[in-house]
Amino acid sequence: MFYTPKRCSRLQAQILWVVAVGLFFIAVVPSSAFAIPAFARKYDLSCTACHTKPPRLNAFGEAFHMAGFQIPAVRDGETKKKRLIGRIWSETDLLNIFSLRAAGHLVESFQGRDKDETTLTFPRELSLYLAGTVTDEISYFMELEYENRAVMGTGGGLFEERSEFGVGKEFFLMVDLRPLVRWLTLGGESMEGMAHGGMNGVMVMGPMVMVGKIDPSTNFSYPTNRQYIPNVQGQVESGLIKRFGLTPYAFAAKFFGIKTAEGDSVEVTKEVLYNTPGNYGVDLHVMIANMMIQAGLMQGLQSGISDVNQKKDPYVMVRLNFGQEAYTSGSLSGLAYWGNDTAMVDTSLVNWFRYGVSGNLKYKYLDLYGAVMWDTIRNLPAGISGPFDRTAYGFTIEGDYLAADRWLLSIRYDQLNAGGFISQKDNGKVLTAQARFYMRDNFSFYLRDSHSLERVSANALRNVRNFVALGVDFDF
Amino acid sequence: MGNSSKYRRLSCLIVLLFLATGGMAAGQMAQEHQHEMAGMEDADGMEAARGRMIYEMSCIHCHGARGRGDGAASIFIGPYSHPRPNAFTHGIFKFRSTESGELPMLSDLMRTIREGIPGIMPSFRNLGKEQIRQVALYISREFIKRELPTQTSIQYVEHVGPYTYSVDSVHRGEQLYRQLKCDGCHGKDGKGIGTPMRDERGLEIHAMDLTRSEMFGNGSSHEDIYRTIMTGLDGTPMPGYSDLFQKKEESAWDLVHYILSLQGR
Repeated sequence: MFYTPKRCSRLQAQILWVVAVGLFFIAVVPSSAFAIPAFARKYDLSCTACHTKPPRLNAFGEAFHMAGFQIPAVRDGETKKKRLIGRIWSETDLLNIFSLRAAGHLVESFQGRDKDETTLTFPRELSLYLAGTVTDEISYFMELEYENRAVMGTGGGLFEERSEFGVGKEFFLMVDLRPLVRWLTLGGESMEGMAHGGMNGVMVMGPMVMVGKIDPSTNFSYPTNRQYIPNVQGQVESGLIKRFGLTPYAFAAKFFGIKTAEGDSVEVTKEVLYNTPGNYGVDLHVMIANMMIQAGLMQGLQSGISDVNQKKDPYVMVRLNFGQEAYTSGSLSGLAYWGNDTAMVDTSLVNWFRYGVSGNLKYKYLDLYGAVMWDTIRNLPAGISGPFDRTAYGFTIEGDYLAADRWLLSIRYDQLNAGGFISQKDNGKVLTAQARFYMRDNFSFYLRDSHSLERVSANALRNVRNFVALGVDFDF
Repeated sequence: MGNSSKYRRLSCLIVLLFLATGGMAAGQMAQEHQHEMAGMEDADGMEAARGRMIYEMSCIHCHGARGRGDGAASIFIGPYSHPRPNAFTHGIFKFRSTESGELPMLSDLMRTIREGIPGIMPSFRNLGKEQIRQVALYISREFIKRELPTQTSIQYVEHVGPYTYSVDSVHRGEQLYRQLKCDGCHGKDGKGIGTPMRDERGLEIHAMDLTRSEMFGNGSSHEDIYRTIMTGLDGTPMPGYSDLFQKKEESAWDLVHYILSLQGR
């Protein structure tokens, strides 16, 4: 059985903090151990070949992901070298395809409108990943996940907390369509220089298609699922949301009172639409020189595999990469997402249009990225239960700095100008600072502090003034 | 309704702006490539131009657009410490079969691309020999910009006959290990010493743990170790011993055998 969070007395809270601080200092004792990265086993590489520090990808990691979990230009380029990991040789097939991850807070402390709360908790997320290549052109990624205390919407504007195990955020096949394109354009004849991604002297990667439960934002300049600062879960009491979770506000649902097309409540701060960490859909993307074009169809807002959204949600994203020298790289992305009958206000299906831009600049040890997303609800029917603000926007900007081999410092600012029912809505501004210590490249502890820059109120978005947590992020 | 139209127009504008900018950038790049290919009319030049496309897909992220080892991902291989991706333009190459201080042969570049470097650089074996040669040609023509040597003065004798493994050979190798003061960096037990050194970029570097063959950057086969001893690793404190072992190749193999014995091989 997993530990259920509970509120502590003041003494207990103090003890917890002593333990937490002790753990933190134990963690910072230098270790000379080598990193044992997850999927890097297959390619005999260290974690930092693909990551600035896990989980965020560097430029090579992005290219690796884009190429369908393969070394770019090399068809299933796994090496055949042996590497001893403990007492097991790395060429063991299972070790080459699976990875485990545990991430989340161990201790949380909320100070706000109500009395202060400190809780000992279990890492929010436990995942088992399987990833690899079926053939030269087909890759797969499967994630089985246990999520502790996930906040889920139910009918009637209510919510519930439940722990879930099952298919996790992403679960898809990625197919490289380049052979098909070659066959269609050249009638099956080979063309020198195209075999490994070039065409008329221009580098071309893909087109690649992802099918399944996907996160299209993984190709965005601000990928939703590559967060150094983890999301904070919301809290529910007696079916009512007591506190919304804390996520990058740019990608949040933003509208108070919005529901899924099936009538379930949606947290205002939940990452949704293009920026969901995983939803059912089909994604096509291609990289031509330094430009990526991505388009796809999503099932819609938390629609699962049901056919509730018969119209589907199309999107298009364009990304421009720059740099690749002087320790500099970056990208700019623009997005437009059309949610067709994807959500509900009261009992009416509505269209939800999202667009925005995102940017990323990496220079040496500094990594800056941010996004601004505008959302608007269309075809809002007359006669809904109250005045409704149809527009909203969110802004998120983050900076990470690898201050030493093992220390990663992060700071993030989130701003939400919410929409939705005027009687419920409120805006939020949160500043978060975090220090991560990597005992190994695949094992880190972090201490974070999120501070609300808005006046504390009874609204579930703003009833926390300060949030402090100690957490862990471990991959094997 | 008015607002919706405004938003739609704005988003279309954003997307069109990105498409247009991207299209122009791609077009410019294509023109540059075609210009370059036109200037490389010899057979090797055409091969190198093809190698560029592979370089831009895979190598550019670490070695950088100008081959200076300053790609955006390069710094994270060894943040604040050795190693960093090679700067081809500096003309200093660790992995060669040529004398210390010389440029590598094309086959040396190809071997590194094919084998990769454990933990640091992936193997590109599955590219195939032809494409590996194209990338190596591109690197030599575009970044090194000097004629690569086609032969080496170092004598490589095969691991046969009198040069094969024996207990006596290991003992002789152990004596050499002490005489040459290999233990000054690699430690008496071959596991290295704690004291860090500096590479030519001033980055912190530790001598290789000779008991962990899977980490050997220049390869871990008998021949690879022999070559590393003879050539050294330019840019690091590891010197080449080809002068010392000239006409005494048997002694070099003794040292190889001792190193192998440290790994239980």
